[in-house]
Amino acid sequence: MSRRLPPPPRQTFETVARNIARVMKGQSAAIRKLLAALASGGHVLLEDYPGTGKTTLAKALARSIGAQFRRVQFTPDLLPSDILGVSIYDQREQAFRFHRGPIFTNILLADEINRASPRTQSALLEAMGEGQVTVDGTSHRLETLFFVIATQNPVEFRGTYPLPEAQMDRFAFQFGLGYVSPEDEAIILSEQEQGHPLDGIAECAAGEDILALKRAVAAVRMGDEIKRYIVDIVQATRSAPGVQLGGSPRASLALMKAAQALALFDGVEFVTPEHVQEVAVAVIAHRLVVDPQARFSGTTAPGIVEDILKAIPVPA
Amino acid sequence: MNTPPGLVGAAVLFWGWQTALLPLAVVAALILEASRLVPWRWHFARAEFDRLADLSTLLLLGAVVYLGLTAGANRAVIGVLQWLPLICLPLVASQALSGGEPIELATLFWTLRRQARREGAARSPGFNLAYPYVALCVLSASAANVRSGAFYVAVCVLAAWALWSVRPRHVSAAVWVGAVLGVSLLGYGGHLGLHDLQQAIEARITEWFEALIGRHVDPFRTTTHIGQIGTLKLGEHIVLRVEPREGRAQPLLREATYNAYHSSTWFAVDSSFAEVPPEGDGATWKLRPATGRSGAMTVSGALRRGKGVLALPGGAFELQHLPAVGLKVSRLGAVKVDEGPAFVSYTALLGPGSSLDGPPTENDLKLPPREAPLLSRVVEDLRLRSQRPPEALATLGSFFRTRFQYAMFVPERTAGPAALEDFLVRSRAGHCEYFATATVLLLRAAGMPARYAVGYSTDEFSRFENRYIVRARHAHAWALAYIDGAWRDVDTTPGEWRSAEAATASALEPFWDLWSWAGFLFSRWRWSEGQGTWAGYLGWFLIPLSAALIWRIYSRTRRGRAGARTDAPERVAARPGADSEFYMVERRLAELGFERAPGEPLTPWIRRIEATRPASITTAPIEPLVRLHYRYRFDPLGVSASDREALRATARSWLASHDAAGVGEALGSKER
Repeated sequence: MSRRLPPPPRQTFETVARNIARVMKGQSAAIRKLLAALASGGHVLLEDYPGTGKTTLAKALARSIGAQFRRVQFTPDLLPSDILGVSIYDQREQAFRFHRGPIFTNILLADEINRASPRTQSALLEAMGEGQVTVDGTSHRLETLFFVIATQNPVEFRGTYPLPEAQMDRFAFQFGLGYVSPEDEAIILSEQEQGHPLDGIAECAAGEDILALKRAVAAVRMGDEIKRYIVDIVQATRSAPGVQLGGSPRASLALMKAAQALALFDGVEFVTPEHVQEVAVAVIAHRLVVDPQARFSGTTAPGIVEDILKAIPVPA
Repeated sequence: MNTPPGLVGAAVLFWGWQTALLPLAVVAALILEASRLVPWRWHFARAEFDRLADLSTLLLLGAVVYLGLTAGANRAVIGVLQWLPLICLPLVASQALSGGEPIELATLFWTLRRQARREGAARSPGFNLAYPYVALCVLSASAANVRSGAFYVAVCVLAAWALWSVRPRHVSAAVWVGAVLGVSLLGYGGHLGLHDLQQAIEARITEWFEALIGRHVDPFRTTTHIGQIGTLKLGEHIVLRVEPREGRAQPLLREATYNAYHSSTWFAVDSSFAEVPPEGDGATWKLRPATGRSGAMTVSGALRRGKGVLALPGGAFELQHLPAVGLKVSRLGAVKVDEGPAFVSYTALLGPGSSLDGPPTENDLKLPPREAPLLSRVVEDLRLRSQRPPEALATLGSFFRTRFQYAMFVPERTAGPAALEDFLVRSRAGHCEYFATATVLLLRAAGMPARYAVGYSTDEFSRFENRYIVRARHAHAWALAYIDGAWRDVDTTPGEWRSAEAATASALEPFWDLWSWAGFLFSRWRWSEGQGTWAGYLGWFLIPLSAALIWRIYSRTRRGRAGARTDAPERVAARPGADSEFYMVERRLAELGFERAPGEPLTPWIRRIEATRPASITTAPIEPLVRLHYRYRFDPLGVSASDREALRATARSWLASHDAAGVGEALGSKER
């Protein structure tokens, strides 16, 4: 096998983004956020209405980077062992053998995660936080490149279990795809007349390229003022009116890493306030617990974060 | 500057006065107190503070290396200590001129800076260097070690000055002053007591240590080469340079004297050292009361590790230009420096009267028991006992001159007492140690107190350097005889010893001499009196340099009136790039009606202007300008000089094309 030189990290991003954009029309902002999560080592929660292309996006990403891809459809009767794996008694060997579950993969699509019971949802906690799972007291390491894309339908739907706060905090990003413009939707129709464009997607980046991309993100520089700005934003969520639970330090860390990734994608070696603002809502809003009274009067978590961004003087 | 007015300046001047660097201190004090005299403030970015701290670090390293190479470890420590206020001046002065912007701990420590960069950790809050700097000035002034009461008084005054502003208000000023005076007096008593205790301990330890280890020239013992086989070969390198200032040059420079002989070794018995107090300038030492002045000689040479025994001409009563910390004289006339520079050039004043040698004791008449019969026999043969001392000396001199010859090579090895017997009876040839030892012992056998002296003979005059030069091979030994109430040099070694020694010189000697002379000139300049002369020149050189630097900072656009700090109070983090010209562009756009919302970053703001601007406003150059400005503001590595220049130039050209008159007209009656 011949050794090839890995491409520059920014080129990796551009190639993968172009590749996914061939399938996902008019979703460049969502693709950018998705890849920022991948490059900064976070996990993504896609919340949107059925049929907006959540699963297609995850599959397009998996195919583009030639990574191992597993999909788990969450249902009310799904058990933790269905995700993590299970030890089965082997008659011949007279011993228990561990059968690895679908979580042992590079990219895991947890489809409709809020349809499973909280117990099963929590089975993902350790895996997402620490990159390992423990079954029957034995810890098993997951892949180096482990990326969870969970999708959920808006929480108000019937037959759903809202994710626990701790589980929400494990996701670096939450964003939606939204409905595309009429023009883009028309293009989608004509493209899928003959077949699905997903079938035509070829692998355009290797697993090592993604690991190199992650290393490059960590090397993006960040001034003290920007760090202070990030901390100010997250701290403001803790004291904002109508918020029961504000952003954690984990939110500050996720926001920092996401901003670093965006700076790398833009070809800048340092983080600017624009990068922080671009992902602040996607990184912070889903972690906030808005009290019911405020929710009733129309306050939403993304709205709170946006107000904070407007109120705090941005470093310039 | 959060210190009381004038305190920092006074501390620096005090340091300059003590270390004889007053011109430099005046400049430094003016710079540091300038922030009180002028209303301007200069904003230094953190990166600039970092660079200034690095500059101070480099100066420190340079000083350590330079002094370490030229002065040896001990002096280097003292020297660096003395220079510390100057080394730290760039950083402290920049803080003072910025109106006391806090300097972070990470600025001072490269490792903390790197850690902060690597871990992305926030830097520590800053602090003010003024008080630590005052303390540093006092510490450095103490390193100059000017021993006068003024130092303590000045330190007490500085401390009181610093404490005055924070005195408890419920106590009257008179009580407070009384308390400070009381504490000062207690401190004075305490430090005198400590000093006495240290002296007592040091005296014991030093004596014990020196007896244990020995020294280059050991004033307590010298092992001769009597009885050893082979050639006595000493180097040709120049060890001392001697210049007669008044009167004739003394032929002999004595280093040490010994009074007890035992199997080829001379010992100094009962020769304890006594401390000599320095005069006011710390470089003049009165060795004994003067009874007149007959001459003066300057002796220059290296002092290994700043300590050792001085070579002195006979009759020396006072030493001048010898900066040292401790000087001691033994009862046998050896003068020892405990802590001095690595190179000394002292002037010895000579006069008649009692020399430094103590009066004779019974030790000066003792004969070694084994050699005593032989010595008595020789004294009998020469009839020395029946002659008066001057005659006896003449007899002894002619005895050695006529019947003995000088030899550096000793063909046979004879041990112990037999060696001297072999010299006096059989071989009748040897080097100066044989002659001197035999002379001392024969004089004692004849009933005259005598001692054995070692040092150098000064008889090579260098026309090139116009002074006497003393080489290692000029090392000599001779006898001292007590005649008519005074010690006299008695040198019985045949005169040909000098030509015999000179014959061993190599052909390269002139070349080495030239090299040595260059080294001597450098050392003399390096260790010149208090280094005040060239430091003075340096001070005068620094004045225009500082003026140019201040002008350069002043002429830049980062001026702001004192108190017009733009930092929001809740943001303690320093603002790198606060002097970016982009802010002028932003102000101009705001004047034109495009105010930026506080939470609106620059790029969306510019795009908003782009969408709504009138034709008279161009935004095309502003996008790249924002990129440069962002790099200047938010890149921890800072901005390159060319980018900085580009930022300045782009902003200025945009401002020039959007000056108030032109754009104002184009906008018509736009609401401001």
